[in-house]
Amino acid sequence: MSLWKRKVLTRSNRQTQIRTELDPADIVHKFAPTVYRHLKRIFGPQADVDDVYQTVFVEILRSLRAFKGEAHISTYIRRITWNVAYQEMRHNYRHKALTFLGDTEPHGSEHVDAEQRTDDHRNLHTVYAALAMLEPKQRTVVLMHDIEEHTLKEIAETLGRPNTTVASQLYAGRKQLSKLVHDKRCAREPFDHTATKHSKGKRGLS
Amino acid sequence: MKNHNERCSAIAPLLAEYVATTNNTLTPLQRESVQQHLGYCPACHHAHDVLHKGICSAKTAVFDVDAAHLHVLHTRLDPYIEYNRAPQQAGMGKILYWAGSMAAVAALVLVFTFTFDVWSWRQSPTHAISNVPIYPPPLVARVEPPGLVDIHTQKQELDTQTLERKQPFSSVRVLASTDFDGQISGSARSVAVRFSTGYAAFAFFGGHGRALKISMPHVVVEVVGTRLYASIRNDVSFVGVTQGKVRVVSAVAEVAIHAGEEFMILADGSMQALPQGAWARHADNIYLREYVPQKVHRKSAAHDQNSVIQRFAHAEDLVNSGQIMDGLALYNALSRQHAGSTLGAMARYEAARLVGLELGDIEAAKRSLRALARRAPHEIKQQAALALCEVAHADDVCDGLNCLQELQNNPHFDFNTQRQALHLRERWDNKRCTDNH
Repeated sequence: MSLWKRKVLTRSNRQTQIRTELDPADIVHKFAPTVYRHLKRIFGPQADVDDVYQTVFVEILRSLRAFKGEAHISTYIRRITWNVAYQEMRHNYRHKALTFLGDTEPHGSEHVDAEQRTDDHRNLHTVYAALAMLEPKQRTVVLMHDIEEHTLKEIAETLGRPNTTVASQLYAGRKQLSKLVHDKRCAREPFDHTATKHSKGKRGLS
Repeated sequence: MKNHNERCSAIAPLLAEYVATTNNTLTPLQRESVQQHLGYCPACHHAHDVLHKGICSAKTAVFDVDAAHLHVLHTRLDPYIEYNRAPQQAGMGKILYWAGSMAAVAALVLVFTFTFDVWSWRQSPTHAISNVPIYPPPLVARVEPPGLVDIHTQKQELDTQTLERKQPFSSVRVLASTDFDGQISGSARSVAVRFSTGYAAFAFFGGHGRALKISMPHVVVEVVGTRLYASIRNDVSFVGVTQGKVRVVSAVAEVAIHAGEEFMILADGSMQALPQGAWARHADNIYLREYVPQKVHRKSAAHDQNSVIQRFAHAEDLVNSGQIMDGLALYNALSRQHAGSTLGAMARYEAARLVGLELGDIEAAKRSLRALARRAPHEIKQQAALALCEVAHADDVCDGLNCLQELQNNPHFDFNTQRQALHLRERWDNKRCTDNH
């Protein structure tokens, strides 16, 4: 194919084609399990992600017409998922009284099978509970880097932050996570939001 | 104990860094001290275990999805799905709305134009040039040079062999007899014609706000967008109008001449209307009707884009059908038109390949491609480098192969370009090169 065709013709045709081919119902059915699993990985196995899941799809459907086809649709959806999850983390961090329960079982754990009450399960819950205590910015970066194993560059692109900011947020997040898991201080007392906020200085999107 | 706690407070924040496999910022010294500390501190050891196992579990955890539960969630999403499908129908409604509005506006314009035409026809019936009867005017026959018109045989046709056609400015065209003695000049505000003798027909279309002023010895004709003719013979001037209206000013009189009318202006400035504008029809038939003013259409960006695509496609078709020179001319035109942009660079690239590979002018092609390889946008730059190798190969097989080899070894070229280079190397017959060397 000629160079001009690749650059001019293909791009305009592809965008038109993508817009006509994207059916909202198909998108929901095709990506529902992926998004649900992704949210579970972000918020933890015990978290109730139904509301966030719906918010993610409402946001996806709303912004589907703005999709230009420059990235793959799955990448686009993944990015929206992360952004919605980040907003949810911020909302929870501001408005909900978080308490870190350490090794104890989460609320409603009586329904969990006995087999699942293994060390791994407990550790998993502890890590997610500690992650939930982190500042949303640090939490997203730690989750994306240490659990989803994205590179710093990928995280920076997804979240729209500079590489150096992501690196420093990763460092601060790991430090805070280690302290929380080590001290388990919030098992005895409610987590002090102000302490974290003041220690990190200004809030808001970087 | 105090020391032990202090040690813990220093080590505990580093545990997640210690656990992390990538991007950990611990120095070897810190790593060693953490390792030693974990050996004797049960609290830190436990925290390390929790972090290590917890993060590993989170990485490898498989989260089951309950299809029934998802179905319930989807039923809640149905209104949103329907809402997001609805805009397509709403879009159609919007198109219909705009189409209706446009049709209404068009109808109004038509009605207005028709009303205006009827009104203006009643006001000035002389605009209908076709209704002007043609008489052989004796006065004109008297002043026109012999041979220019044969009045006696009633042919009433100007001899175009004796006429000169001129277009000194984009807005004015002049048909002048060979004995026309005068000059035409233009400025920002007007186009001025001065002449002392001869015959000239003028077609003048506005000239972007400029007026046409025709100065003759005894009279000045001011024109704003019309077609007329003027002649001077033996100190007698004639001005006839074929379309529109002109104002004629002499030392003693001022008159507006409408379409189809002709006036004779004598040396003392007095004016006299000729019976009917016989020459109006002639001027119109012979020359002025040829003048079709160019309309300037405002094109949208999308139209421009489509037009560019069509022109690229047309150029490619021309080349494929063997009309290399026509294709090259079109690519060159595109290159000039979009100079400095990606489109221009693409056109230059295609033109350079044609010149090198089809027309055999290797040096010219190389010059152009080298310039593109230095300055063009990224993708074109890479393709230009490849094309440079192709052109080199057309000249000398070994040069082409060496060029490709260099390109493959150059880390500045992206993966796709290097892959294309590899394909080319495989396709080209390198036996000739090895035989020669």
